[in-house]
Amino acid sequence: MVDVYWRIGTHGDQPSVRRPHAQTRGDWAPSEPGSITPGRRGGSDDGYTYVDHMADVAKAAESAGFVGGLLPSFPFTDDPFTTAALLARETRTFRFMVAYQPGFLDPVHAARLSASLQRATGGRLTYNVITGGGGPQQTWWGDTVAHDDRYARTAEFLDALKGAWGTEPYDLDGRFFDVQGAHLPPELAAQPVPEVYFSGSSPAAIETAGKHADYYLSWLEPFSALPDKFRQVREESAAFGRTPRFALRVEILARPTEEEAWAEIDRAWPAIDKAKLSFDATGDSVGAARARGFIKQPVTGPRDLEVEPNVWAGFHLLRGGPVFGLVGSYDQVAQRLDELVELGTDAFILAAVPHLEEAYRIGSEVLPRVTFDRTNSLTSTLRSAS
Amino acid sequence: MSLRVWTTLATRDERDWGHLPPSEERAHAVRAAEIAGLDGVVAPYDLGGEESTVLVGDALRHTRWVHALHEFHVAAFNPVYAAKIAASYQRFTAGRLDWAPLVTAATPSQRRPSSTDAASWYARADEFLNVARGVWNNATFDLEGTYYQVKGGGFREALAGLPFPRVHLTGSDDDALWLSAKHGDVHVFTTAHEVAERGPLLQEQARALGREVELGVRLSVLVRETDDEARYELSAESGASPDLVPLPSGASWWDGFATRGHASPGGLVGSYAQVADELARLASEGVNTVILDVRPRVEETYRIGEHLLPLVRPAAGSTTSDLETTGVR
Repeated sequence: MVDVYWRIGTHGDQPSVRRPHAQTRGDWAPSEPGSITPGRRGGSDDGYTYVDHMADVAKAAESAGFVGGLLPSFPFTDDPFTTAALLARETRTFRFMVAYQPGFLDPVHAARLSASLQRATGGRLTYNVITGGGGPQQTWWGDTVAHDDRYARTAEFLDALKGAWGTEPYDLDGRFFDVQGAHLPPELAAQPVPEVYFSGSSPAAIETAGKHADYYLSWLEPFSALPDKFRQVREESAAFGRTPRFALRVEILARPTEEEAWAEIDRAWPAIDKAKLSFDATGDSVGAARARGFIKQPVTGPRDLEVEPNVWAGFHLLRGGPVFGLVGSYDQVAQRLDELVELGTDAFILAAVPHLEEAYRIGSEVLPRVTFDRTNSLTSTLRSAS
Repeated sequence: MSLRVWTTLATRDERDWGHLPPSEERAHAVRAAEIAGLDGVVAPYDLGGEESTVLVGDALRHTRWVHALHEFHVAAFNPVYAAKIAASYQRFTAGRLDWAPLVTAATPSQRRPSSTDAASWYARADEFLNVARGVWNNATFDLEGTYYQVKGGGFREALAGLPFPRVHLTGSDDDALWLSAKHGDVHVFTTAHEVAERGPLLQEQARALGREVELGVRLSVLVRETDDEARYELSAESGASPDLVPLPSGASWWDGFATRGHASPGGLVGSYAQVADELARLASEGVNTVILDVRPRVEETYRIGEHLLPLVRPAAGSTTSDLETTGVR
């Protein structure tokens, strides 16, 4: 069974992929006529906040057949644990994939928080454990631990979280955490530990992932590059006697016909930031730097970024986030997703702008066309506490 | 001065409602506080119960008016992340989040360097609050502390300009008063005696730092239409005549509420008028925050809203002039 997740932006949303980076949903730009959450009513804000829109996206994804949604975390976005706690009782089957950095919480308190969310939602919490890219973004968070040490901390954190997740006292005289007699009350200890989607691609990351990841999560890359990446993680994990599954975060632009899909990009093209077309490593994205090797310069039009059939390396030009995604007809995109499963993908996090409307579109047009067995959130039994 | 009246939320299951998820029971109590016109609900830190961050989210999402007081151990989060969580709550709930960071409560886990005694816990809490306010109120912020280090921090964009959660602190020893004088907005004591004994000293210390700290008290109550009814309720439960200490108003102080399952062992027993009188007496000593522990929660919250609040708010000289205004509802 393949779990197919959607994504909920924690940073506002734009109304269309045709208008790169135009944020009208949420309060990242001042509200004006046409803004949503807050909207305008009688000349002032209507009192709704961005979480009301996030609730709509969660409900859309739930009814469109996704098992849940990724809630990403960046310095100036909203906090995923907060969002999950706010929306817990507004959905029934939707799993909250909470992105967080283990260094910012205490592991035992994180266990308590997580188990309480599990109990409130019937076991609908999933982790996206991120360890951080380093540099100014980490010190902004108050984190001065060096790169490889951060992965050691992530490992120790997850050891402690899982160790404390029981009714017997747990001690850990760790390098980063000092744990004495930690345990959970029986009602919380009975909850399932969330599945771990693990991000990071350095050797230190893969070593930690080998020990703790249920799913190794990667952005989409050209199909030709994925088998090597999967193989590397599989080898590292074998040393720990574990067999990780693989999850891909995939941007989608799907329309009834291929022509219509590319036409969306053609409309957006004049407004994109042309500086990003050089895929210069000084840019803001590791993914962009990694993409450089796949791009033939010079890039003069959108189709120059189609590195493999339907695999387009320009999504970061339309919105913040990954470089690679799928562009094509509903049939083509569904077929590519099938191929990714054949390459060894066990789960997906799909996303498209705008998140609300596209959840319905992908759910009703693309997902029914894939042939792999996917988890059906509406009929599957929740992973509830026994 | 207006009196803010809060109730505490359950962190453990209190009724055996097998047909409903446990969060539903708590949701009813939150709704009762909202409907009955209380000012807020407290999500307590309880190692043997559910975690308060989750309680706060659920309470705020399903109300429009009540504030939620997030009680958490300072060891639970790094201060930047704690502030980030608070900022999201403030953004989404019209600034209805309040903070109650705990300093010396038990915690089974902490980030190194470890705090080993009260002094080092207070030093850590001081740094925690410096960092949290620092990143909140500044577009750029640096701090090289013993416990926390931030470089190039600071909330900008959508995180900027939000009301910082009102900080509620507790304790009655010198360290506790010092921390409150420096960082607290409200200091919550547990008895009228503590308020009288330590309240003026705290406020003097705060004023010396150019700050104002309000006083609060957290206690249990059992109120009925008459004093007899309230006492009858107690003796019917305990089977014996409880050990009540008479108070000037005719109400009583009882230290035995723990036997009824309350988290606050001490509290007031009496008629609506008597208990209102005791609260007015506290108000005259500067108390403007009262956190009440009542059982069963839904029914007693309604009772407080209908019968006690109408008496205490005018009795405390309430005007709406200093009501908190934290943003659009």
